[in-house]
Amino acid sequence: MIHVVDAINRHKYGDMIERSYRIRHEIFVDERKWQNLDRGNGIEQDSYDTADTVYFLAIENGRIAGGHRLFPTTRSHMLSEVFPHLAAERGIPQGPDIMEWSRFFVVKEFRGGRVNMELMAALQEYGLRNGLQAVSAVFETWWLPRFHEAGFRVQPLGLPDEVDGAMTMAGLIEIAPQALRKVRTVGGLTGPVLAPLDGRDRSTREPVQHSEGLHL
Amino acid sequence: MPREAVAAEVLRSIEDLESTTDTDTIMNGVVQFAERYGATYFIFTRIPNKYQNFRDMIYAKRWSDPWYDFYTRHRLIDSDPVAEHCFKTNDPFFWSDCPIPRGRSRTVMTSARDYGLKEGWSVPLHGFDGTGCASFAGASLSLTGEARRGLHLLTMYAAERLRVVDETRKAQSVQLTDREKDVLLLTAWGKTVLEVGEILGLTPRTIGHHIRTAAEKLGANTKAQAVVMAMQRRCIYP
Repeated sequence: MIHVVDAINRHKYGDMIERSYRIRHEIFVDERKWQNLDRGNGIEQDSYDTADTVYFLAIENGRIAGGHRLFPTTRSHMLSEVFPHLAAERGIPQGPDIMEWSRFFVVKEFRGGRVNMELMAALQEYGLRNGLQAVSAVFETWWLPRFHEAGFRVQPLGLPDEVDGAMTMAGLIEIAPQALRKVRTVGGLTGPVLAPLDGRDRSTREPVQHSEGLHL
Repeated sequence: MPREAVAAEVLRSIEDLESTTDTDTIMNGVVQFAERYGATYFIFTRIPNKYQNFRDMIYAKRWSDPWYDFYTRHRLIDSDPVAEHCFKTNDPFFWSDCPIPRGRSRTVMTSARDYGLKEGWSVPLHGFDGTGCASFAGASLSLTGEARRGLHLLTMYAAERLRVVDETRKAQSVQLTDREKDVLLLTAWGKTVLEVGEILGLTPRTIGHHIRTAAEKLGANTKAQAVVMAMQRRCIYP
């Protein structure tokens, strides 16, 4: 089950977000050696961890198994501030219905299984529920076949380039019912993966109407 | 060609790929681009495991025929350092930068040179259920800067189109029922007919029936062959 945590319901999750910063440090700094994220305090937190950030946490028996986050593209975000050269060709997508997707991680003992697919499905499920058209993302180019196989349509925003020794690209990932259906099939998921969000997105927002009428 | 023009061309080619469902057309786009940088040979393939036949794993190729014959006859895929390196790395690499262990692997590379594949560049492709590789080779490659980065991206998208075309073709050719897949999967795990029957709550007779119908669809003569062919066609993932 994937939990969506934002400024409004964060108090219900205790210190989960702080714990996720520590796990991110273990994964992105210690394991993947993204040294420029290292602040020497065992916590990986940057300027895109704010009250506007929407966190996705895979919680298994009270433990964080993985996660990722979304940040508004209407603000200065990672692609616009740090990697604009990766979007040199198509420009930086910005708008209220586009968010930036980042910090995808799965804790070691949960890798190669359901958590990974649930986290990917959660992106599409949340996006469809909340009227997102697409998410932009900066990712290592080797992710591309995995996105493709999961049914995600990814428009490249420019050519890949080397970032910290790894070929990295920027892409715009479409939010679409077909993508949710495919990622569920590939991941062997039989239904929604998002935990109920205090009834908020269901009662106060109209569900997004898509032509294919996917039942979420 | 100016760098902006290269990038624009690559992104346009990627857009064109989306509506393409024909292997030759997909290949033409990549070939036309890569030829300008010295590549004369092209191959898009998945890397076989020990149960799989290399010939069945290839999505598309315009490869040196003599080299391909030599390579497949001697099963060089098993000791090809380029194939081996694809498992260990995420980013494209020149063959000259590929770690080459002593012995047979070294022979593979010197033989390739003898057949005219003097320089090569490979893009590893890591999917959910296996690793693939797109290789470009020729007498001399001049892949730098935008050309290399552009070919990298174009290759990833072309590989995806080829995979989808392949998947569609295979889905059309063989349709196993869920029960048939269950039986073949458990068989692949070494279960006997009796055990498979116990697990699925079916009689050995019914299990035998499922194996026979699956084998018939796959064109297999024996149970073992049916399991192998179902794996090759990616009907089951043991």
